Amino acid sequence: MLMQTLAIFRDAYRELNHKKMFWIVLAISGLVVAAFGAVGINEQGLSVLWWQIDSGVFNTSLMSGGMFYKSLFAGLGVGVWLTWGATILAIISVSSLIPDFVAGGSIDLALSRPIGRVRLFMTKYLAGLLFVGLQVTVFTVASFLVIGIRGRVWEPGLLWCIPLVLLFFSYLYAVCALVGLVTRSTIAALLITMLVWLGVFGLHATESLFQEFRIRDEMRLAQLDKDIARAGENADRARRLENKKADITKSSKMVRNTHRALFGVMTVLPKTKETVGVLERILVSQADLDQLNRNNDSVPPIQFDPDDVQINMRELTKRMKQEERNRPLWWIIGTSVGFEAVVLGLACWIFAQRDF
Amino acid sequence: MRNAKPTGEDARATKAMTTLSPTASGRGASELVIDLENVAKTYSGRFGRKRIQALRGIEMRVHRGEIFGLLGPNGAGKSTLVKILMTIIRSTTCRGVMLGRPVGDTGVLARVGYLPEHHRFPEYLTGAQVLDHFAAMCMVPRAARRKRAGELLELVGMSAWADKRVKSYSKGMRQRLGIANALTNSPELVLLDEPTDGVDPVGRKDIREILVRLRGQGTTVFLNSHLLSELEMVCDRVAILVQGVVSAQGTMAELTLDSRRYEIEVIGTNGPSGGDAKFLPEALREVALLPDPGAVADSAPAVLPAISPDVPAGSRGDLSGRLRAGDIPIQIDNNSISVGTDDPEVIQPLLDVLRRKGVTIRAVRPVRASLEDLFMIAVTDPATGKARAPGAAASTAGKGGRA
Repeated sequence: MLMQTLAIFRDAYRELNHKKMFWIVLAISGLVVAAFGAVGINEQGLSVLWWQIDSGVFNTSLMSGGMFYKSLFAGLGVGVWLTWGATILAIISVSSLIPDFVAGGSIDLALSRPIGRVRLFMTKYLAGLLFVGLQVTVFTVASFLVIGIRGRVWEPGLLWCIPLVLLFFSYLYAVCALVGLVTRSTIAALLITMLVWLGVFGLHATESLFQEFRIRDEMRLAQLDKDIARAGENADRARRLENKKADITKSSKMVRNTHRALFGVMTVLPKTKETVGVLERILVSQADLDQLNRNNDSVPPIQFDPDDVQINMRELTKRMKQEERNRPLWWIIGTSVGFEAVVLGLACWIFAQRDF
Repeated sequence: MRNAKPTGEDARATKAMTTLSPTASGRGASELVIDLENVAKTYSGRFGRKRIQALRGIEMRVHRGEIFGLLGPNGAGKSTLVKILMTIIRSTTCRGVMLGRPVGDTGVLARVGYLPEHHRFPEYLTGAQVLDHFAAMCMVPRAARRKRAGELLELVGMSAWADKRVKSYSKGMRQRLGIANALTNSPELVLLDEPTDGVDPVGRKDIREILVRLRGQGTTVFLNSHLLSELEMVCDRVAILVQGVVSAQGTMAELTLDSRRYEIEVIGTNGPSGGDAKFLPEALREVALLPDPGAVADSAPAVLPAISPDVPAGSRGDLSGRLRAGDIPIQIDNNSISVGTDDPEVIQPLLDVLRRKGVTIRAVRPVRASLEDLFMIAVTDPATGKARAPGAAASTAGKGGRA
């Protein structure tokens, strides 16, 4: 049993080795890690290789060296490169694996071996994750070393990046595998996976927007209560504020309901952004965030109109961040894995039933 | 057995014939490597498409250590049957065993080798890596599979290409690698689907030799091909599949039994009618019951089995009758006499008469139908006298129904 599994993984590794894209992505990862090593932060500002860029804001009074590197890794390295650039290239690379596997002449050879269909498909699926697994492992370990040596920060929490990015990619690859199996087309697998990903991303962005509207309304209503109490004997202003409160209360109900509906839909879909966002929870503690907010508390509150309610944008962002961080892990990972299990279960059922 | 209609009765008749055949009856059931009964496959007609009955009650037996040939026209269901055995396709109904295990049991595949038609090996692997990978999938230990890979590449003449990637292989080389791959787990049974496809004549000869060698080692070979001459050269037994039904099955001797005959070629220079053999009927009347002189074969029923139905009836023979001794059919066709027996003793009196009458005998040769003849008979529709259309039977009947 183990021999067959190892054989499939070895074959997947050879296939990846054969793909130019694998080496291109690895080279870009190397460049990103090298960029981490080249950038530094000190009392005067930022340093890039041997050049010094003085800055009154971006220096160690804003954040420590360790915090700088961890933010750089989580925000740019993982948030931009691994979860966007490398993922798109990875999907392009692996989208052909299942269609090639189930192609005539190829599937005959695979199915004529003493291995159950479900195990064969699942092993092949897991072997398909090898691409991202190897990439993210090399990238994370290299980043860990560079950040340790350059920033004097040895943060084992960085290594959580490996399972989290792998998990995030596995949601997408499950969709890719299902579509590849059903259509036997690499192009269809690639396009539909991208569409699903964009759909999930769009849904998340919309949900975030409505979350912001909701929190903003809550803050405005709270502020209005204070303003109404402060209006005192100015009956005219008090009435205007009461009217405004009624308007906001009315519209906030719609916003709240829409947000609730979007949140419900998100619950049954994979949470790609949040899964990777878990890394930030691990790397950046709440205390670090509070410290960052305190250090950067010079932004004035915004005011829409003389009668409108002043809200603190920093407070708004903080509350949004807080709310996102308070979302339970079971909701982020559990429901996403549930989605993945349903997709893979359907793929396994089709693979087990189909005549090739 | 010939020209059988594709029905369940035919399948049962095939079974009966096989059971009663000298070859089959002499072997115990335990020696059956493949024993199939009522194997059917109907592709459901979704989205308004017609249901396709690819296989309709196949009955087939393959004995241990033999080379069994499965032949049939395009779309007859050969590959479907092989794929059912290899669990690549699920049968609609199937009662059968392969190597003592029910068909569909994946565990038994560790003891089976398979060369699919139009196989596609990963192009990024070398020949040696292909063999290593698929042997590992059959759970062959590492040391054994390395040794075996070297031996097999040597066997198929691919040693020099062992470390070259498959993408650089020609079609024939891929086919050779495919055969090596089918043997990588030292199987008891090898199923080869069109093994000589794309292989040059030298390669074909090599493959035939490999098959014979495998048989010598006790391996059972199940050969699926439409290259009749290839099959005829190596197969111990054959089955002819037509439109999803076994039309004929048995050893070559069994299948050609009715067609065996002696042909005596003569030169009638000393005959009373001069330089031809028109006097032959007269000369043969001593030993044969023949119609009145002048009666032509067109008006008389053909006695010898029809070997080539596509040949016009009028050219089959001038005269036909039966030998007085043994009720053996005889047919006279210009300068040749065809006697429906494979017993040399039967034709001796006939030869004596011919010599006594001064007829010069140029040749006496035993003749039997070739596999191609049998194939043509099997695929010919007796009602129309024409070859059946290729492909499986389409049907709108209920699920699992038969035409």
